Amino acid sequence: MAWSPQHDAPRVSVGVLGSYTVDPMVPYLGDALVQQGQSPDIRVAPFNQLIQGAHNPGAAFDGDIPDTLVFIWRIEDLFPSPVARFVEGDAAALSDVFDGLDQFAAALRQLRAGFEGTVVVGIPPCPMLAVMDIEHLAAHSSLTELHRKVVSRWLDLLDEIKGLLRVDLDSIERAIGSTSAADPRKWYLYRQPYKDVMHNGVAQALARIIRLERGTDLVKCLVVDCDNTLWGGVVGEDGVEGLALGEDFPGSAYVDFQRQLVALQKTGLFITLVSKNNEADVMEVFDRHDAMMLRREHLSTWRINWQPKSQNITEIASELNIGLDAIAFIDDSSFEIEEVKARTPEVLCHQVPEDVALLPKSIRDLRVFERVGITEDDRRRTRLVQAEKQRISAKGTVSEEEFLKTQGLCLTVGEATDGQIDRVTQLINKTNQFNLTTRRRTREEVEALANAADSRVYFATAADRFGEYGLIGVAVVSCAERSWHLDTLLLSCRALGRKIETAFVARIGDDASATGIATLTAEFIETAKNTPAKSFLPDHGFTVSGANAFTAEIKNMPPCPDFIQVKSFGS
Amino acid sequence: MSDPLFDLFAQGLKVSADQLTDESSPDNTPQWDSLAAMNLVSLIEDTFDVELSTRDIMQMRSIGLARQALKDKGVDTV
Repeated sequence: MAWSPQHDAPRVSVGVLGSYTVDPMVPYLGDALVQQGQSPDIRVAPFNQLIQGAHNPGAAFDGDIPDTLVFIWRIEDLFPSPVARFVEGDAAALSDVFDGLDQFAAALRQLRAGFEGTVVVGIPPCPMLAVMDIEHLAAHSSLTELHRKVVSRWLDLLDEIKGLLRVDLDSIERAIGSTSAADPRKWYLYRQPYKDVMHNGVAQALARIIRLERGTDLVKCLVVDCDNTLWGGVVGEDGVEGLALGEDFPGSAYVDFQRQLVALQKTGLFITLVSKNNEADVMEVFDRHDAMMLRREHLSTWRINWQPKSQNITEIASELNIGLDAIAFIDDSSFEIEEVKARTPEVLCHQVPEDVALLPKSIRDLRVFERVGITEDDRRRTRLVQAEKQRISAKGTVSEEEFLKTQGLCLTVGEATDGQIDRVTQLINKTNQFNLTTRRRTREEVEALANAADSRVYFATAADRFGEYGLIGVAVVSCAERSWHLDTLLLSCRALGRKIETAFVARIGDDASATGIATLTAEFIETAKNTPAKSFLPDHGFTVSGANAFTAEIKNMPPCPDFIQVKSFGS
Repeated sequence: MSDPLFDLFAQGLKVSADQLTDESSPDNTPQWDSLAAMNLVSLIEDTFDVELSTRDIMQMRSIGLARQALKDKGVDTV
């Protein structure tokens, strides 16, 4: 196995210091790093010189120290004599091993203080001693005891040194099986203890650690479906009590999956739901089902509706302010998986296995949720997003009026004269959104309407505590004997969402009332763009009186909102 | 036609296959060090689906001897 340098890929240089012959691991590591899109340069320090290498990495790597230093070691390599004595029954030999560990840790601490790159330190596997390779059936194994004590001490020592990453050879070897990992032939012939499967296991772990440490392409958010993913069954059909979730299979597999989600949430991952369901049904499961491990407080957000899941996921990405490529999606339905793959291909999709007993393992095997170190920031992240969510929803529920009251809104209404005709004409000809009729007019036409006895051209300017909006509203009113007609009513879009239109039309109603008029009529001519104006007339006391035609008794129209101060122009 | 064993040794020793003969050995091939030998063991086992004993490995002191050892183990493609 070999890899070719990737010229445009980011370069990563790795130096490996091993207590055994680690060279056979190098091609696997190179290959794994290339697979990740990196251009690796991997060098191996002289055999079994870890402490020396930590004290003087320059010497170990001929003056060119790699960015990442990896220390891989076995207890029986570093401390052969005390290990042998310990298994022979000399309990005091353990203190010699501990002395050695202290020295090793001191060297790593010194390295960490002076070296800016990444340092990865091994957790050693259980020693393999040919002469002691007998499984103790009734008695405890002295090798296992030694291993536990050494690892426990080693982890305590590493905990005291900030900024070290770990590679756990013990768990890698256990996953392979110590019998399958060992190659006694190569050990005797070449002082090299492992089969390639172990070298590959170590290489894959190191490659993942290096990638995670660089922080690229991390999954930050897990989007999970509910029915037949978080629990067995369909809540809308089976009800809360009918779901498979609890101590017995298959419910137990879903419980374990939920435990994984909770653990991932604690590492700083956002856990979110996307489900085609009634939100109330799903939340009832969260609130009422005893076996739920995942709880509301673990969730950063959710979308429970009948929208396409890709759309919900896109919304979640934008709500959490992350990219789609930072999202993994888990669902039992091939249809949903395909829909999300097709429309949001950046999202990593994972389908619940047909045999749900394999679900928790399939999540572990995804390997995308690993973290090299959990920071307090990670743990806080979910809490922060939840707080932000509460603030956002507060903005929505603390009445809109409440918010507007603090804005100091002020509307000035007048009839257009020379000073305003240009701006009024401009608004008439360019306002598309809040515009009841979208009737365009030339300056001359506007001027004629303003000067005519049977029509009025109103304008409105607005301001709030942050400043002036300028001239933002226009109404053209034809004044008949018994009613006034709103030929044109428009508002610049920058003034929308403040109830200014309500204040404006109330003021026109007041003027009409002052001349003895009791009725306003209006038109709504729908265009492709004037949806914002569509509900204005029905919301303001107008009823349909014909095609596009509306009528309102002025006394039935809503009054000017009390948070808007209305003034007459020039007064 | 290329010889599968020369190809394998060329890969393991990182040399060109036409530099190799049945007489190639650690003594006349500087690339054939212990790391390369270790790598060759894995390559041979994977390629020919055999398991080599320590004795087999120690016998393979040249490509020709490796060929013979593999034939003895029933590998007839070498």
